[in-house]
Amino acid sequence: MGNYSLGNNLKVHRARKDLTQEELAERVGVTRPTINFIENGRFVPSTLLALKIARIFEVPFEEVFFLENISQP
Amino acid sequence: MNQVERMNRYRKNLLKGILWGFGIWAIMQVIWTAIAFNHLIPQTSRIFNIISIFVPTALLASILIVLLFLLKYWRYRWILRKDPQIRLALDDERLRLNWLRSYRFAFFTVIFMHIILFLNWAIPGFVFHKHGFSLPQETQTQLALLVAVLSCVGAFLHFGREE
Repeated sequence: MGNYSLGNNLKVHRARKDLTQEELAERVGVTRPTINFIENGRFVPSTLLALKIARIFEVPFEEVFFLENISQP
Repeated sequence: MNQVERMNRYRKNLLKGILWGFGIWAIMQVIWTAIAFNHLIPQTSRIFNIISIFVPTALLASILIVLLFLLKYWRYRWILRKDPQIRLALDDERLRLNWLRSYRFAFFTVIFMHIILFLNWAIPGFVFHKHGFSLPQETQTQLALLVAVLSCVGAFLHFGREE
């Protein structure tokens, strides 16, 4: 089993929806830095928050969040 | 800037104020203990006279700073009581996790501090000074509280830093 982390396409989807970090944060009920931390991979959100974010973007969960293999060179 | 963002920044500033207040308080406490109980500066010297005026004044000022910011923090909590939505947003999962990590950091810092104090008592001259460093019991208790608050608030602000 490799070493995985949670990757995301938050920035892409945010740009597609024309949302700022602050607007997204307001819509999912968190602070703006939390969105920033998720976007930069510094914080792994709970399943509930990740699903809420995916719902805002109106895309399946896996399109926003995915497994990233970090053991690859 | 929306209300959540404003309140988040306000809280960060309040915590910084509390950190500064407690920081000055702790430093002054250590300086005073070193001078008054351990005679690092001769009590007849002019520097001692200046320090003996400056340190208690700074200590009092730091306590007033802490009280002022604690009062402001209490007011901030009071404002949040009226709006559950903002309160929930300001206590999101990342912030809750950061508080838990800060409590853990403060716990280990206080344990580490007590180990140093114990070594200072058990093996005089091992930690601070060749004749040991005398710390009254009430100062040790006060320092433990100050270090706990400083490390907890400091760690929380550190964990919340953005790149």
